[in-house]
Amino acid sequence: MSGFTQAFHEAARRIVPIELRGPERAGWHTPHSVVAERGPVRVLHFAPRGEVRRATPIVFAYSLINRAYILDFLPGRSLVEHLTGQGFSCYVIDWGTPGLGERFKTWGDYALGHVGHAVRTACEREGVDGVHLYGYCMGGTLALSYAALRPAQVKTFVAMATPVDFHDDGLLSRWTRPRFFDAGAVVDAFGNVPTWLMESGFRFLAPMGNVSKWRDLWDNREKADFVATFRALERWSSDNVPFPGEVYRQYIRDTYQTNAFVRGEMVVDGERVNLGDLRAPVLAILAQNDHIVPRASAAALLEIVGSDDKSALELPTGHIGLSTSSKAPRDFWPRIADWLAARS
Amino acid sequence: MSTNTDEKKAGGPWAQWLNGFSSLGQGAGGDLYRTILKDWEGWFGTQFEKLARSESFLEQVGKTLEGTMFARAQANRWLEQSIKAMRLPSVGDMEEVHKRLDAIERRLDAITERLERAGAEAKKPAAPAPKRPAPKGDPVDAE
Repeated sequence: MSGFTQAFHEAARRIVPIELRGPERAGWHTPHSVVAERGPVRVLHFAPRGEVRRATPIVFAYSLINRAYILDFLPGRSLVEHLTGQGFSCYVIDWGTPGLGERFKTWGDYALGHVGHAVRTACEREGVDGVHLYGYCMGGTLALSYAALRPAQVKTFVAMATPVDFHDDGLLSRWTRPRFFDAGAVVDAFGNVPTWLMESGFRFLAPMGNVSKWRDLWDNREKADFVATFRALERWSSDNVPFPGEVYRQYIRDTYQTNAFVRGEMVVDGERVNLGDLRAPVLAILAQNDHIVPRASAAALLEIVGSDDKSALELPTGHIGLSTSSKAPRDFWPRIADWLAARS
Repeated sequence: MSTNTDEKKAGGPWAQWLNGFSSLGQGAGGDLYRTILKDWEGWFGTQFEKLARSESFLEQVGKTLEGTMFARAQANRWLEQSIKAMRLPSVGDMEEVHKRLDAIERRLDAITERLERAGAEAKKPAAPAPKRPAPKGDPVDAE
């Protein structure tokens, strides 16, 4: 290798480590098996490890906007890996990539159909009559509507950064007001909402983040752990999926626009969703620096659920940091695991 | 004074130039650059937040988006009509099939759920019959 090439490689390695250190591995890291499939939706099972075995399995419902493998972010920094290590059998709903077949699926098809199917699958496989239902972001909103309508198999509910009261002061709430945004027109034009439309909206939530992240990378380019985290996060955040059309129409209308969800007026398959009907123990996990789901929006859950056993866990991180922060395995997740273990 | 060996080790003048470039942002100059960038980020972030909350801006964005969506939906309709006129299966036809499949799936789900609920009820042990209070003066009381 000539002096120039060698020098160029060395300098480039330091300047742009992202591009020159090989492709990033996307997806799941922790070993798992697919235990159920319905169209593109799969239920993944992560078997418990260690000596302790918890009786009640956990079923995760993640948002329809991004990929669920954020729950298994990196080896050693994975929520499912952590919880299986604590003896929990974990089931994750992987929504897959919606296609034409998902265009007319409704909120009910996802909440009662897919979430319900995952819960029943977990109960049947584990020989139990209830699960810990664990919702993250709008996956939590979806799972909450299931839990309120079919509470029998929900032993506890964990709502991690789950929006509940949508008339908050956040930008998303403002942008989607009926005066400014016609979700129906988007669905009529595109069917499933394309990734670029969703992605551009989220990027504009914190536009300077798109600049400062590169500066942070530059400053930390010699730290292998920082670079690995950065790459994994970039890979995940650009791996978006289209949003099923009719689900989007109802979601925007009944949450951001009319706030029917929190007022107990959302109707799913002819049944009214009343969060007061959820009487199982509830844990609301709130991120202090959440710019996607403001703290107040997620905290509202505790005021309206019918549970006697309800608590909030407020953590000093952002929306994504709940599942990717380097502090999470040490400071956040053990507290969640303890709460679940006490109710298993 | 650099020797030939030293130059080779360092990669020659190119290496020095490139290393100098990769060291940009370090030292006093770097601090200044960083301060300017951070100030600019703060200023721009505040301005953007104001803009993103401005009703007139959001109204304009909404109108533009609505117009684009309408044009797109109109184009879809024309395409659909053209394909139908050629007697070819269209996306609309496929969507109809999917709607029917969805309806069937919903029915199956409802049946499965009812069956499972009935199964769970059947598995529950029968509740013991409530004890009837013995009438006063019953011989059992006396025992």
